Amino acid sequence: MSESEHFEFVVIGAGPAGQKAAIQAAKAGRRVILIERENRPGGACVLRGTIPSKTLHETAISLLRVQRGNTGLIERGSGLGLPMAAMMARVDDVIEAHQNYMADQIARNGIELVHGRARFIDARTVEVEAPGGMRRRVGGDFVVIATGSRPRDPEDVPVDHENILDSDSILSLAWLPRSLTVLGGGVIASEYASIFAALGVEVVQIDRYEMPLGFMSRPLVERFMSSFADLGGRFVGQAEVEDVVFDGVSAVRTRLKDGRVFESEKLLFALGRVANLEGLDIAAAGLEANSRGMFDVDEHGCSGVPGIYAIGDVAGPPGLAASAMEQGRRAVLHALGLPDGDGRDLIPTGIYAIPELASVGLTEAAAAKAGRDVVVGSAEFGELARAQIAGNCEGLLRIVADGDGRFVLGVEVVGESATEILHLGQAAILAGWEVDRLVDNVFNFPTMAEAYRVAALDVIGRRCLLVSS
Amino acid sequence: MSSALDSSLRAALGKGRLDIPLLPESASQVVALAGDPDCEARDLIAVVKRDQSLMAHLMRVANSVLLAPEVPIVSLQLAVSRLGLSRVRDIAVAAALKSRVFAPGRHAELVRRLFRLALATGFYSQEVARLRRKNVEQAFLAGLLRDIAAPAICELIGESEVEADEILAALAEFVPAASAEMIESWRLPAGLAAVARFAATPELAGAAADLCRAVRLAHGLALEVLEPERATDMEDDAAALNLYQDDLARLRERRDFVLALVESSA
Repeated sequence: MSESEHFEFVVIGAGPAGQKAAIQAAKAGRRVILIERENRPGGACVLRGTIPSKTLHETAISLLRVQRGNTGLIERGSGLGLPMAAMMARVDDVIEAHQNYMADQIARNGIELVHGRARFIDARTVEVEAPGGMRRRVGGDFVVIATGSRPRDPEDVPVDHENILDSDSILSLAWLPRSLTVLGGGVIASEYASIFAALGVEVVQIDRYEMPLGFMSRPLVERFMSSFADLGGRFVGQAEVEDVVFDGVSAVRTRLKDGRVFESEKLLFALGRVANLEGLDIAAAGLEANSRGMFDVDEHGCSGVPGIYAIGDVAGPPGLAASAMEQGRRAVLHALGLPDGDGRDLIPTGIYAIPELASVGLTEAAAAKAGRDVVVGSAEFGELARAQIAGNCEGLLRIVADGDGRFVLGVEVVGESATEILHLGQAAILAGWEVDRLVDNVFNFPTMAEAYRVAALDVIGRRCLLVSS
Repeated sequence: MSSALDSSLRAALGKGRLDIPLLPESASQVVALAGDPDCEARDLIAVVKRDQSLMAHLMRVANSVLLAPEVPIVSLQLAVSRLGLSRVRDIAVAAALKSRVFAPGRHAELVRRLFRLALATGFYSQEVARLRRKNVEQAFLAGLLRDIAAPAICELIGESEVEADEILAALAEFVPAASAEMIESWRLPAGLAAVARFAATPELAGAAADLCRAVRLAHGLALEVLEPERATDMEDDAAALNLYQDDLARLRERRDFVLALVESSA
């Protein structure tokens, strides 16, 4: 075995977190090697997660728009005869464009991108194994672990990626199933449940909690559930699964502990993800995973072993690409002793379900939990001319202001394009705007931004009531 | 391959579509199961799935204009789900009763080897797809049908005194195009025909290149188990599919299962 080649930063994993970490280090003039087990950069985000699923989401939204705009002409379920490949027609192009862009960016910054799997030899040395078995050792002053996560492989549900699928293999279906059972009530489960329902698949979503997306505010989730029901979906809450079996012929049977049985052509298991730590031999670096199989890290991503950082999904929630990128940037800045700017806690949450849900800053639920008074103002999309024109009246935007109803502390949105609409609210929070500025300033008409004005007026109205009482 | 064999096969293939013979034991098993009141659907499905020829007949009828399924049928699960179990049973029985049974002859042993190899290739294709989170349902059929024309071409060679090596050379020459044409005529997805046509040159298979390479790897694994003397180097395909050494090792661990599977089949 040859001696190890030295780099200042060894970054393991070229997903959103690792890629941003590598670029930040390179921009600071450091010599960087980026190790990726897939043959192109991007990670699960590009290959199996964010980008492919959002492409399917866009297709489903387009189909819904056509259905809404042509009442009676195009019936629900019209997409059932279409191949998945046709529904994701642009996905390969999008992935390739994104990967090319990332590869260019990596090369432009002088980062060495290596295809292979990493394994720790010690806290400063990593061995890279190429698919063909060739090995190479590299050493670094700093090692950044950004290997991401994958769907959990449950012991009690026989995921075969044919009839019982996980969130990776669901996108490999050749044809839309007629019926789908979704196990789970989290982000991925709710996104796919609503997307497939919008495509005309008969969907039953089963979860042990009363409602899905428990970390989002109740009014938003209620709106999501109502929309899901309108799409023909059914949510079965407070349910414990006894077993899941493929009948050997054509149906997956899900039996609940209360005796109810649900049959479907396919089943999606979407209950949890696990960090990609296998094969890394973290013990050789003096690292230890926590009880959830992830790393406990501090706010900078420090792992506890000097010089080793863990970022993105391997460091636990929130498991969002946006926060992973930011973690990558900040970990490197911390390693180099450079300032990392503000906005640390203001990472938005976006759920690409149908309808989309998004929030940033303080939520009403978090305020209640902390015993903090807030004033909440709402705007129904149905009150907005733009939403009426687009046939997109089912949304809701809420502004969470402080107890005096003066400053914007948080924004929550449910509805089409919620993940985009949210950003005006994020800017308002970052700028420390008073609610009144959303009323005093002029927005284009008709636009969805008008929702901010309507919600701000609602906050002001409630503030006046507070003063008068 | 001798020029005589080459020209006689070209002439025979030029006459029209190939007819795939059934293995006699598969046909009798299906008929017996269909007539057994205690037979469960899954037993019948298992028999069909383990026979390349029976499966091909079923897919052909399931995708025919007569039944006009809303989506191409690429698996037995899909066939049952879209056409109903009783119809699938009827198709299987009809295929078993109406199809020509393979006549035992000089090359009977080779044909049996090809059937076993096709089943093992289908199985390994499925396992490769499972490992890579690709479409498992379609992968099985792609592997099973890749060389579907091979038994029929063996029949065309008939009782001629041709050495085994020469037959294998003839199969390598004629099977890809003949198989692709058969699959195309059954209205199965274009990717499956491309897998057959570009079996030896996956890089030319366009959008089906990845599936084509995966099936070639599966075929290599099947050869390694069933005919080790014909085993091929799989490293390039494995690397192109981003499979690491331990991934290959995991696939090879299925050896005993594959052997049991082919032993229990025709």
